[in-house]
Amino acid sequence: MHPFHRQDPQDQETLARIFEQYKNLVYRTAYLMLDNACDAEEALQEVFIQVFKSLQAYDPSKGAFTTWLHRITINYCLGVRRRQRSPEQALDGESSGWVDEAAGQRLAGLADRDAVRQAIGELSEKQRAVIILRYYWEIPYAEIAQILDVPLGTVKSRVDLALRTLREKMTGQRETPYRAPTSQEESCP
Amino acid sequence: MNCEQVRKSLVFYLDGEISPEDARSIRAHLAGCDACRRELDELALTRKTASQTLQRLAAGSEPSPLAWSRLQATLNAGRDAHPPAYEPNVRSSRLAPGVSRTKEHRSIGANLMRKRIVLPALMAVVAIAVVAVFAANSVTPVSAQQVLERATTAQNAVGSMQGIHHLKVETYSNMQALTGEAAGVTRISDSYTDLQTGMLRSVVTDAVSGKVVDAFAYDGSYSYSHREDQLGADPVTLYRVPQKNVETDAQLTAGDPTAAAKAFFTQFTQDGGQKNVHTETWTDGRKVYTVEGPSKIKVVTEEMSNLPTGTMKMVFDAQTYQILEYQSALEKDGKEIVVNRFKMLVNETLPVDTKIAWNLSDVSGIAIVEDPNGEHGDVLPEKVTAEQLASQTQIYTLSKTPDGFTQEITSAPNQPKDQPLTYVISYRNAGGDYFVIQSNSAPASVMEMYNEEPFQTASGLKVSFAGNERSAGGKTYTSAAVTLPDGTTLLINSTLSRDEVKKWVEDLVPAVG
Repeated sequence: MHPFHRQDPQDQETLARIFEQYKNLVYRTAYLMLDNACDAEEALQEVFIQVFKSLQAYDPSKGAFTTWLHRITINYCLGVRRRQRSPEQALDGESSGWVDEAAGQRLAGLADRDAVRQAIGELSEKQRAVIILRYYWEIPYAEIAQILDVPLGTVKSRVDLALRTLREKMTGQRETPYRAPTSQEESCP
Repeated sequence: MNCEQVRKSLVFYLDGEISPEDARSIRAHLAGCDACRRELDELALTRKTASQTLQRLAAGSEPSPLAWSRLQATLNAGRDAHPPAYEPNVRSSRLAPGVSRTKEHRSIGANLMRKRIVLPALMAVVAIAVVAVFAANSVTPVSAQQVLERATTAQNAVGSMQGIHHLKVETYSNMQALTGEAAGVTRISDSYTDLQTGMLRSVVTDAVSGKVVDAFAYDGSYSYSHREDQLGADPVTLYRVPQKNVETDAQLTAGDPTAAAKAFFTQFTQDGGQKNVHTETWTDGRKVYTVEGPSKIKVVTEEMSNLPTGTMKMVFDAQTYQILEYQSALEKDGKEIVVNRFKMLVNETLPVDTKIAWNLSDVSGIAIVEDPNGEHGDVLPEKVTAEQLASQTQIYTLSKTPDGFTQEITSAPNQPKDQPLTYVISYRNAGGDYFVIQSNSAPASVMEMYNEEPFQTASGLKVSFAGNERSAGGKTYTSAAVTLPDGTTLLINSTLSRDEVKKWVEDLVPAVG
């Protein structure tokens, strides 16, 4: 049984302990999913509010606490990404059409790692989620299936497609607009 | 396995997510197939690069140190998300925010005026994101905003106009918190103000030694004050200066030890960032709201660029919305360092006939020296006529006092001859609206903030606005700079809209001495 299970979720010390232990898990997933420190801060708040509200609903027999936490975090981030994407905006990976000369030069001057970051950012949300869960958190396919609540075969095909898409983006000649990296130091609105 | 089957499995092979038999088959195929090996190498590189990139990105990302307190506040507020409706039954202030209530400690006369000018401009600097303050959180934005708005109304309100207002507050201040050069000091400020006559006295003692460190008073005929450069002298020497026509607002301000709290509050409401509220009931039965959020910490400073952001926690009485406590803190090396702390100890209105020694005759540890010409003391601003002032310096007034408004001009007597004269010309009506013209001694960095909607009046005055038309508490107010033909500038603060102010400045004319 998980140590937090069946404790009074109103007990502030318990909540503080849970938060302290798992804040980085939530924050980093959110940061990688949303590519933005402000949105990640917001996600951290919202995810933990949801976690604390439903702490008693967490059932250890259905998986690890972290699996449950990952699930809430990923679902929140997928929701944010959906809300952020206005109808006029192009779908993932498609250029929004402003590749001017300066941008092209900036793009050419980019270090490889920024190109990789950009490539990851251009994956579909679902592909991005599996890439983060698998290649950042190194979670096995079976657990990713639990987190995302999809069959194992779906996880496999998403990982496969995501990695191949990344390879294409990293080696391909396709020009894509450069999005300035966001940093921690930026102040949130 | 053929090439197609192998290629479909390569990612899973790399991830170790296939059976040992399949892995063996793949290895056997790769040993004899260059094309599939190249494919494997490319995917392995992609996989490694992706992993490294994610690690690198995440390594630099940490949640804010304030995340827990913010969450906690949200959780607490969630339990009591609906504060009772409050309709303050008070008149609006006659005072312009930041004009007369900006004293951090005590400084009368020219020094007071200088600070009066700096602060509104400082507010302009930090007010830009006001509108966005509460937009970020979807959980309790209304509560925090409501509390701050009601508190704004309460802070700007004038309560009773009769009786003797007695305030006793404890303040802790450690301006060197960041460098660790000096420990903070705790002071007790005990003040009385006769709301009708404007007589006042205030005695500040060191909380540790119990010694009087500062005192001042106005007994209706004399002001008692000491010079800034003699602060800390033992015993405290006060100069007794005969003064008449003392400006009422100045009296009220000088006698208000909560002025600093109000300035901090204004700063807090205008700073960006998430604010959260929670409710508490104190042991004496009082219900309070605590609002917490990021805030720029130092308020009265002329180093505009160096205001570190820390955390401000303000406690408001849930009935009156008066500030009961606050604490501002910065974080250094993972530790919280308290910079300012404030506690309201007494806030009461005594009967009109309460006997108070306005001349400080009952205070020990002070020495009173006669100063008949006001050469030493730090005197209070006095009311003057436009003609009197115009004989000393060029001033601009409205050609005619607008209907419903009254004009009051104040200036500190005996100002140094080698410096520009400081003065305030104010127009106020009974509804709490004001249009205040101040002489300007603000530094250039402040003046740069007045850069919006520049235009020239028909008479050739150059006018521009500072970007802070704020609406906290329901009132907007406008700050403008007016450049005169000789290059000097005036500052205007008003409750009127920008468009109204534009009309009013057209009516500014030089006064004749």
